[in-house]
Amino acid sequence: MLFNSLSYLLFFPVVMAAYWLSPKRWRRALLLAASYFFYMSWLKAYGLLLLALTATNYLLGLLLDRFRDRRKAILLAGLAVNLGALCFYKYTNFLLAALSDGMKSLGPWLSIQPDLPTANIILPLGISFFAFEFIHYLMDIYRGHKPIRSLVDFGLFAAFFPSQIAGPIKRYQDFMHQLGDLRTLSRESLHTGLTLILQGLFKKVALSDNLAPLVSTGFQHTASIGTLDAWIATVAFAFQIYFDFSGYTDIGRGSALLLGFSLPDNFNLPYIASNLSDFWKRWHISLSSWLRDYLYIPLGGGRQGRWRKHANLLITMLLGGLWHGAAWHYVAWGGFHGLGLVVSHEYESLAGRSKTLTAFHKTAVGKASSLAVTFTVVLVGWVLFRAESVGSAFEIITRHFILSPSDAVVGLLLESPVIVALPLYSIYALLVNESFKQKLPALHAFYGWLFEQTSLRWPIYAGAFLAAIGFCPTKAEPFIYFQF
Amino acid sequence: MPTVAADSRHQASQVKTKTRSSWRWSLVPELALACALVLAGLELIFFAAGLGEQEYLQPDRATGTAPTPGKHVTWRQEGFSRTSFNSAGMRDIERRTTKPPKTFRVAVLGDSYVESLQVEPDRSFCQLVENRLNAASTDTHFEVMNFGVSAYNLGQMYLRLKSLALNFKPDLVILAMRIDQAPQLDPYAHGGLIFARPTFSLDAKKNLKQDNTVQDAWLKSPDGQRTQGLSWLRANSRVWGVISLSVQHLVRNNQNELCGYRERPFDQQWPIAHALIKAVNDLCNQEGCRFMLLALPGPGPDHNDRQLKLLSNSAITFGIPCLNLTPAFNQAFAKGANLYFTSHMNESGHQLLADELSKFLKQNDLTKPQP
Repeated sequence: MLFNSLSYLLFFPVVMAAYWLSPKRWRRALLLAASYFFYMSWLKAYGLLLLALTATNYLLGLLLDRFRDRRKAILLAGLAVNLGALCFYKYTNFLLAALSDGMKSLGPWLSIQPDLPTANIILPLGISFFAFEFIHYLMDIYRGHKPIRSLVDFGLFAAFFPSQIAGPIKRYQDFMHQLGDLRTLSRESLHTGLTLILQGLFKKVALSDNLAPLVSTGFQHTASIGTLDAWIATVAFAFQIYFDFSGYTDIGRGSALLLGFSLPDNFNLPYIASNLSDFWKRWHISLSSWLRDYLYIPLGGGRQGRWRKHANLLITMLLGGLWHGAAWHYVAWGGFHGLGLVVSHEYESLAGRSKTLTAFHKTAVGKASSLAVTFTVVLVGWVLFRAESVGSAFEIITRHFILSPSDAVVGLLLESPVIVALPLYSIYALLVNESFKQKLPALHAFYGWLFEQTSLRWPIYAGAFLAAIGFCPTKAEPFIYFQF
Repeated sequence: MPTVAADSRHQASQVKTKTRSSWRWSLVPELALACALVLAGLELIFFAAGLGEQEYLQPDRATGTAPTPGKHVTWRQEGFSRTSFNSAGMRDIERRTTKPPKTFRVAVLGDSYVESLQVEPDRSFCQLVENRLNAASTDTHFEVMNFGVSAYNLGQMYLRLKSLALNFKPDLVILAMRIDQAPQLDPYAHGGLIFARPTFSLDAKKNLKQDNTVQDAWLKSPDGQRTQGLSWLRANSRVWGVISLSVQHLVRNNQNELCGYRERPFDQQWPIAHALIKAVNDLCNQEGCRFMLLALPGPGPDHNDRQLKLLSNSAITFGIPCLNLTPAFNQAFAKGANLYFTSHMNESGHQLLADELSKFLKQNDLTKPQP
């Protein structure tokens, strides 16, 4: 069930009404049942997989707490179960292909050439996300936190439908705190939740889905695109993936808020980052903080010297890349960001020692150039991420710099309704942006007045919904992060 | 004390009811104004983005359906174009019914292939042929008029000629038909607006007989009544267009509206098509204009040999010049040309069609009035 589908439009209000109308003691069970219904509407059998992983991790959590002296072995068993499931479902074919390629390259020296089969495995939706949540749960108990005693509560933490398929990756302490304090639906939560859902829907269907044809044309017809086509396709993908993923997160967060839960934010204007470290504090925040807490820090973080820190960063980002998908171009994307972070850290330490560079970065030109360089590096990274292979990524990157006439993507852009949708959303985003509000208090006051008017709110919600529907292209695209 | 408390509670509830009631009444005009403002804003946004403009066909007594005169359409379903139908409901520039002196008029009748919403108006074959004819002529001005309408069959083309095209006093009428589509003449009662059209049959003496039963029944049906009742919204409101398209998507996902439609074999329908071609020919002779047939191939290499043979026999029987584009298109396909989007011609397809048609008109001396 997609957030931008009619089924969700029917499912969510029914769940919400049943949730608030039912007695408090039934609410958790009701949400759990709804979450399994949501998950199993895609593929019934994988509901059992989620259930089995939940039960196993629940037991392992209790065991970790009970047998502190054997906690290392239990944690390792837990990691084996979760990473094993993740690797089996996500990486089996990737490993088989890599093995087969390796054997082919060793062909002249090998007497046999085994033809490795491809496993017929359907990737369970959201497995990368809930595997990471389980690992976080077990590692935190290993570090001394208390486990969840109720199986229903733990099941709900694992399966909570607003964050089930593509995050944000939750922390169980936050979730349990909210679960223990089931509230009534406040007026503010209602309006914030609805605003988030509508904002997310607009980002997804009006912006991301309308950018999709530009991206696919550019990335699928690499040989025939011109210079401007390549640039437009790349920038379009940067915004497509942002609107797609942040749109999904907004709908998830809005839905959770309407059920009385607050999910962590995943994005904070990532394309205005001043360097790569800053970018990772603004992009997919719940994943980058997970990688920091459960991979980078356990590897030693920055505590064991400069070169060890760089090596840890590289390993973390390479694995972060691989987490996104079982393909070399994702690994290359992770490695590219890892290298970028190393260079960025080295430059920062150099700039810190140079008075001229420090002064330069405080000027407007210095700040603008930091933004521009970071955005360009992120764009190159997105080419690696989106391309079908590393080879085709290099071909597209080359296209950016060889002057040739453009037609295909430019033509599509001029015909696309995104030309109107994007400025429209930009105006809205500026109006709701806190720092902009502070710079223009009159506008801030007007905006405050506008949305305080009860009579205006509901027509504006209806209008925003209609606008999203109006801009929705005939071909609906699935959320990009669902494939991870 | 309990009495005082009860009284104060009662008073408080009365105040609350009063406040709530007055709050509600004051809200009504505010809400109405807000709704009007939001709707106006949406209309403006959809106008700028070219959204909600897809419902351009309206019921038409004479032909079943016809484009809404003056309707602006941004077409994105296949290809792209921004266009306005003229005041006569043609996908063409404004044309006066009185023919200017030294002007040779060509009326092109057909379906969506002629209407050409998939390409910009100046890239459609009608416009390209007009440009070519005018470039080659010094003394005569040529006007190639586009009377094509989506989903028209041969019967509707004949009716459009009778009810509209002849008013413009054409010197040449071109009946452009997709050989696999245009002779689909069977009545179908459950196909909605597109199928609510006059149908034709042959009587015992093989005379053409028009039947409006399906059309009349649909116009009286709730669907027909609703479509007619909403005609202003359908013609003018983009917000309505968006809502209607969303509903159509939902309905289409649940039911295939043509699931009960069964076409009779082509051979069984051809006698009616043959009679219709004769009727158009007679009408043209009567009005003193020339007439030609244009057989358009469908997407991909065409193998409608049987159908093309029947069409060619009809053309020979009545002495009508007929241009069969299948060989030219097949030749281009063999060279790897891309002439179609999915099911309609792209700019290259229109270009090739214009080349072949211009050549044919010149070779057959069809750009001169009937002697």
